[in-house]
Amino acid sequence: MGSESDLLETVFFDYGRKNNLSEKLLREVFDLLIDTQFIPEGEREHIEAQLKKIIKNHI
Amino acid sequence: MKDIGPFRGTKVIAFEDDGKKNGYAFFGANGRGKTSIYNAMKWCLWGEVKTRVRASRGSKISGRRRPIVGNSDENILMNREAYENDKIQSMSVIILAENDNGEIQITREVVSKTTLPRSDDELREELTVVFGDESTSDKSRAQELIEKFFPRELQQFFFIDGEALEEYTEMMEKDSTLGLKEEIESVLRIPSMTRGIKNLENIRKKTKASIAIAKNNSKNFSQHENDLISKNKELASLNQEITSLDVRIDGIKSKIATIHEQMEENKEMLILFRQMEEYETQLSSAEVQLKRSSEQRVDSFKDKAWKVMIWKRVRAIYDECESQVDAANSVDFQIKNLNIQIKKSEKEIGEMNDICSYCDQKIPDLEKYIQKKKDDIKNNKIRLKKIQEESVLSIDELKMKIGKIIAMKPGRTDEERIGKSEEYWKSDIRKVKNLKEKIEKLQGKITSESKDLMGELGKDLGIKEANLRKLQIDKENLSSKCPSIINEIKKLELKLGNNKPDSSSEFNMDMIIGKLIVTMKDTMENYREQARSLVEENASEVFMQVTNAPATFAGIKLDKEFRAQILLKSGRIATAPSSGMKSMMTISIIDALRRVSTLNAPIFFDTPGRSLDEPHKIAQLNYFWRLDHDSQFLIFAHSGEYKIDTTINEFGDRIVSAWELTFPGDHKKCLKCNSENIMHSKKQNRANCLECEYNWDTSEENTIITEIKI
Repeated sequence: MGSESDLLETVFFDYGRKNNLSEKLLREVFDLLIDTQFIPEGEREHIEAQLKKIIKNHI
Repeated sequence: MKDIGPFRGTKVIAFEDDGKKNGYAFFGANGRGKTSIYNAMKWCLWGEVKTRVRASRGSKISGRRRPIVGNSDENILMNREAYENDKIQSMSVIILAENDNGEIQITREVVSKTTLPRSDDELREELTVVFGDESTSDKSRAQELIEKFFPRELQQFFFIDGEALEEYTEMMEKDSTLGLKEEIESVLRIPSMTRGIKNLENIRKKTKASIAIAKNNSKNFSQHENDLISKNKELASLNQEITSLDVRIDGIKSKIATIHEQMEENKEMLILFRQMEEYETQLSSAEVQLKRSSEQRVDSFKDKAWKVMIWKRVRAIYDECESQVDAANSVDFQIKNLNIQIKKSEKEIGEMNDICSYCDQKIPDLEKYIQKKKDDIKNNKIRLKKIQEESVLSIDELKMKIGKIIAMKPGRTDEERIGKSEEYWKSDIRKVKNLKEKIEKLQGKITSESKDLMGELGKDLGIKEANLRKLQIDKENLSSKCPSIINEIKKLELKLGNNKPDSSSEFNMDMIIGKLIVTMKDTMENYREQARSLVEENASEVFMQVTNAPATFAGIKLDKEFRAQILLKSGRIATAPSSGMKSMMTISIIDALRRVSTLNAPIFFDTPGRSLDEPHKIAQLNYFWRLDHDSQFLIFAHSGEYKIDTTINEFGDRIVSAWELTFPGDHKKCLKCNSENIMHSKKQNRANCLECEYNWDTSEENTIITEIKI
């Protein structure tokens, strides 16, 4: 099911690499944002917390 | 599903996939529940069913939420018979699904809180989701898990409503910024970026606030740090001064000890010296006392001592004078008395008769008596003369003499006071003399060298002891300042804590967030165009498969706002495509979006052939029910759209399962034995099987689901 390659993922990783962000960080951020993309804005506090945690782990 | 739409009781439909075929079909006349199955799944997934989306002047008008229970004029979701007849009304749907992420079981149920609920507010809804090892009835979390499988925002792309296709088409064609752009962006997962950017911006805002606080803390920390250094220096300086004083105190104590030792070596001399010092002190005191007693003595002697001394001699004269006065007074009395007696006797003689003047008796011997009187006078005169001859001074003379003597008489206590003053003075004199004598004796025993030495030692000792006392007071004063400084140091240390504020992690975080935001904004900007191009390419590919005129059309053109047009081989835009052609364009775009989105869900297509002509209906099933299609494709078709027999015959090799939805009255065969030997009674609304004698109510509008043999 779906397209053979994920265009959004490809573009995101390309730009992420250009900004010197690690593959691991990009992967974790991308997966989280895709998994939670349909959670409305008012219910995203825990997503912010997870994002913050991911970024902290890469400092 | 239980008691939903025309489905009374519990109905189970299995969409098991054999991994080769992907087709599923429901056939039924109007009102038999095709859309109810479609809605039952939507309700189970998102807790609501909305009326159809409408397009008005190219804009989308959202549907209205359909009630679960309500009046007879309302199109409720719950089975009407269950709603009106059951003691406790309830409706439930369970979905079991599986994809690459795992298995999910979703159970949603509403149960009435009253005997006859008049609105959805009187229903209690429960949602339970089991996903992998997780089982939750927390609505928020359960819904989150569902959204991973079946995103609500993308429902238009896997719950496709054929009746709404015309509206979708209109929205895709019209020059509108509203239209389906939002949904298309959702299906392209652009919300992952837009929402992600907002999340990151929120985090960044907080991070920047933390940095500002950290900067401020750092400033305060530096201030506290400087204060602490200053206080520590102050304390160190104090301690240094105290240590210095201690050294000096120890030095002086040592010198004092040495002096004491030296004094100890001259112990005997010291005793004498001390004795002499004591005597000298006593002498000094005694001399002061003597001076005082001398003054008192002089004072007591003044104007008094001579009187006391003279009185000792004059007192006898005074006493003599006093006795002379007494004697003179007696002589005078005697003289007067004698004169009175003489005069009396003379008078008596001159007046004498023979009667006694005393007893008034006749005097026997008058002559003799007169003679006796004359003798008395004579004797008295002799005595008088003698007394007068004997007296030296007169009383007045004596009194004058006494007056002069009295002027020399001291006061009553003068003598005693003078005596005591004298006594004290003499005593003090004695004391002074005795002490002087003792000192002289001691001086004889103490050599002048020893005296000098002891004097020097004593003097030195005195100075040193005075210095020691002064230093000890200085030390006490300095020591008393220490506790307050130590206290301030402790307070500052407490404020500073263990760690110096470090904002470097916040700076790094801010930097990474900044890079991520830039990455995501760049991604959105470029992905949107690339995705549009990819959707256009995919949609054209689908369209070319489903169109009945592949020689005329080249594909579909999508502009930046995702407005769609059919492209001719000539490169021009088709100006007046048929409605069927437009529907195929819309379906092509929807499927292309679904593919680009990587959405991994079955496609539920309600009334799929509504606006299509026969060739397009066939082309549509040919495309979606193809063996290499990656999704399950379910159609909910009206009997007029797709004939059961034709469809089964044409696509039987691509269909996994198919069902017919009927009311009991629709059946021409026995529901039990499938015999066609049936007798219908319209009057009684009943059908009787003449073979097995099974009979049923033909007026019931509760749908029967019958699986079609393929």
